[in-house]
Amino acid sequence: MRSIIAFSTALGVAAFASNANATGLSTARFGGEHGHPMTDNPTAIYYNPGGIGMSKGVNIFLDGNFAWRVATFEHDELCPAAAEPQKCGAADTNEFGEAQDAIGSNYGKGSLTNMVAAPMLGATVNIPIGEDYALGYGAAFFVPFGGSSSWDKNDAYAEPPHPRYPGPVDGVQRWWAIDGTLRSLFISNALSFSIHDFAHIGLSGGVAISKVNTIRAKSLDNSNNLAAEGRAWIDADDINAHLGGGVVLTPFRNDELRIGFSYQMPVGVQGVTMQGTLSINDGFGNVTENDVELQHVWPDVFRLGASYKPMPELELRLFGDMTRWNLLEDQCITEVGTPECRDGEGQLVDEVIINLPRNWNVGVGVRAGASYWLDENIEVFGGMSYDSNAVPDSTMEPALMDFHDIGVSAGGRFGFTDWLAMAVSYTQLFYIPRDTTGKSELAQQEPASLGPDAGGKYSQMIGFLNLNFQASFDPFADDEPEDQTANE
Amino acid sequence: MILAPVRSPMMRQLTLPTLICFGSLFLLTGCPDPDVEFADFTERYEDIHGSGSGGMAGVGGGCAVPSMGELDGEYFFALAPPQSAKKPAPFTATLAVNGATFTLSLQPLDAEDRVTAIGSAIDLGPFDLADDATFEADLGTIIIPSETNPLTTSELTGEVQLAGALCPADYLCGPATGSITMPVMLPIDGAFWTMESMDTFAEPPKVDCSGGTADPL
Repeated sequence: MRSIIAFSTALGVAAFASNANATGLSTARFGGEHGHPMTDNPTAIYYNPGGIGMSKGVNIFLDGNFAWRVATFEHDELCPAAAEPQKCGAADTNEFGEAQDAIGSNYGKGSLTNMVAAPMLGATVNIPIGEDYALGYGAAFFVPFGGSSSWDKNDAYAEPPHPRYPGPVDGVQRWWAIDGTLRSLFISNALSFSIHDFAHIGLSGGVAISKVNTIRAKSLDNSNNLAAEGRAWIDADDINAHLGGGVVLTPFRNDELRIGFSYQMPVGVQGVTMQGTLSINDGFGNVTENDVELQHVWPDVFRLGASYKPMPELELRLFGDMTRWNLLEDQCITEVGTPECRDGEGQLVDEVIINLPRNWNVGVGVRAGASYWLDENIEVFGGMSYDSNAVPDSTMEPALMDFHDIGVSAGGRFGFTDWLAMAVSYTQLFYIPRDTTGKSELAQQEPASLGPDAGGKYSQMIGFLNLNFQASFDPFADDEPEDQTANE
Repeated sequence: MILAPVRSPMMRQLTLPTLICFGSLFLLTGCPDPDVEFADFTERYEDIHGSGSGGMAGVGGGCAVPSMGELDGEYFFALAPPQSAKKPAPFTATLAVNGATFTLSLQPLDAEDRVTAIGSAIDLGPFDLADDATFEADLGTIIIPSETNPLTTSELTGEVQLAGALCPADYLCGPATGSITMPVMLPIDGAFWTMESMDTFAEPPKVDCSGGTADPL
């Protein structure tokens, strides 16, 4: 087991291959402009289960986000090239220069262009109980955290392949990310209870399936030495409970003003322990597979927002979230069966193979939007958003990218029949580029946590199309079924 | 467990994750496939170095088991833990290959001059050699005299494993794993061992598999 230690930083988990479009690894954008803590469509199961209490009858919701992502990482030369890769700088450096016949293998620009999609399916029912109360239930699956990335190949080393080095074809960013997925998929149930059309209280819970499957380059001495380059690939997963709750208040007992607040606990409450395998090519031709555990913490999320209708045709929305990514202090890889990474005094236990300090920050997002109904069945809407950066310069790497970003979205919702509506919108996220050159601390860790310096210029752009369909029926209506498509 | 993740190009394109990704995401691009990437790297490595494990500086790959006496002799042996990558623990080593096994006798040296013998030699082995001359040698518990300790003035007790291949080359090397157990618990994973024939050895000794050398005396 100990033989894998040198490679375990590769897990860094590894390769948080994120296409994050909110803070940190948060990707909860299902529902588009109508995914928020005041909503009454089935996305309320995640954003605020109290919102189910404002829905009518049965609602079935199918949603998809179809995103494109372009990202780059540009790594400046830190060591001069030589006939063979040579260390440079301080005596204890782990930085190797390129070989003269492999220029561009470690320094230069890596890029990715990916298309990804994230589906969400949910349904709710809200049953009136007498004149003043209602009981709601919902079920859904969705992916609120994580994503995937697949970095472009370095064509200079694709054809013909390099005669001496098998690694550079995977791009200059390969020491941190080549290909990978990290995500948490929720299967949720929710209950709501409404009181006097004034307070709508909800609880949600279910299982979260966390998975990591990622690969990066790694050498035994944790350097970026071309001549000793291998690969580390981890494939692990875990199933844990998730819990959340929230309340929506409608002070005027109608849709004019809604105030929503919700809280989503960290998955597994105390974190998750993904079990799986670590496969290693050690750069010397030895290929092995080992059972390992990866201990990781997903954050908790607070949401608060309000919507207001100054006139029947217009709705204004302001909402935000605070995601406590600061809970992600470390990533810990252990021998199988290790319950905790640290003991009661905060010291790493002996079974820890490696611990990676992350020290992420709290992430904050704010969104403002408005809807205008041209008629009963046609709604146009738009919004703007801001998301803060959760990843500090010291631990930023291509697999763990995050930025401050501004988003702009526009779209519409159309009622086709008295029971079916479709919404479509496009959101463009503008990420503020970062330059962490000279600020990375990954090459200054204690030996067991050491990795190549990841300082460099980072950029990213993401745009996504949200498309959803909502079918609504109200078997509990006193009269003829009324049009539910305009619930929003 | 040794893997053999080699598949045909067609199979590489049709792994289950790929199919699920494509099927569920409506033929979108950018679906990660780490298992394919891992297999591709291994294949590229083998195209360059041949199959099997290595241990040769800048060469990699295995070889035929050395014939009797081919590699026997005196070597300068350096054990360079990551905590002291440029200041190895020095030894002279006597290597004797006997068919599919080999033995090693390590004589600790003074880390200050890398010449003066300290204490008694440590006899190790026999260790098995694979058909391609690769090996994994568990040295068990060894005691390194304080004078040989390149970092502090304490005697060290360690549990060390070596891996590599005994193939003709300028020098032999490979990864060393395990940990120092006394006076403090300290993993040494990420360490390298090197062996340079005393016939050609010159200061400073090699300390890794990429030609890096120790700090001069």
